Amino acid sequence: MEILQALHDAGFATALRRALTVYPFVNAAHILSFGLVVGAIATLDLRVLGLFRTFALSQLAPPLSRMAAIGVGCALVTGFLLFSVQPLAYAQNGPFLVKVSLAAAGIANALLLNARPAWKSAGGEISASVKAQAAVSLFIWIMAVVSGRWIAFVE
Amino acid sequence: MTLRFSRPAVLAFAGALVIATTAFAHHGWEWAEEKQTNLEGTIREVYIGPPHPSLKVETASDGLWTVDLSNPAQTTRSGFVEGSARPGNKIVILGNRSAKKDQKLMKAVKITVEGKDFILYPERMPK
Repeated sequence: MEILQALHDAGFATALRRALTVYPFVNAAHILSFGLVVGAIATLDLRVLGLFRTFALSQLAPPLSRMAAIGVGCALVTGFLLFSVQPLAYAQNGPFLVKVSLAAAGIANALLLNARPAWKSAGGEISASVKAQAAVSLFIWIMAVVSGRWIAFVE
Repeated sequence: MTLRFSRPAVLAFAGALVIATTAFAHHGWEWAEEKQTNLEGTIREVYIGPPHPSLKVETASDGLWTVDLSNPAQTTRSGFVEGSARPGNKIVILGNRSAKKDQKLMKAVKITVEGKDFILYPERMPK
């Protein structure tokens, strides 16, 4: 609680609350960030699951993974700034906690997949467990966006 | 295991998601009662800032209410800024209560803090 109060009182959080025009830009940057994540990850997941078969995974996976990673990094920074305006309220917001948990699970899932890169190599067989992880990834990121949007609609 | 998604299935899923996430809009007034009422109480919390300024107001016999003000720019324009109200101040809110009877949520049109008026939605003021 104390650390949340300290974050609330931090100079940048106060500035973000007071300056009416900054928050919408941070908000837009956050949307762009997770738009990158979902766009790149969903394309990669669907390729693993069997769509876009004419495009080699060995070609698609590196740029899509990197774009997703950049998106995650930007989403974390912008998300932290958005969180800082009302940390105590968000820490008690159910959809927010679900969203953060889902994002953490999505990141862990992606790191696990990245740790065994056989599926990305040319001509490599995609195992059932990799496909299952891709399906889980798709589900997690979609639900993360939905629960994130839900934050604003509970008291 | 091979998974294939037909194009209509993917489109239908995307469409359903869009509907699911936009149907429940907190903005506007449709979710609130049509008639305006007063709510009286003591301010417990004041939040001024994005995304949405709001108050927590303790009433004498109906518990703690959340009062949504206008968006940050409109709230500032009404004159309600940091320091305009603090916990412990008496407040009267004119506005629309949530249509859900069990939801202690109200959208303010005008608030009166210790006798001083702040009109958030001039166009919605009673004639």
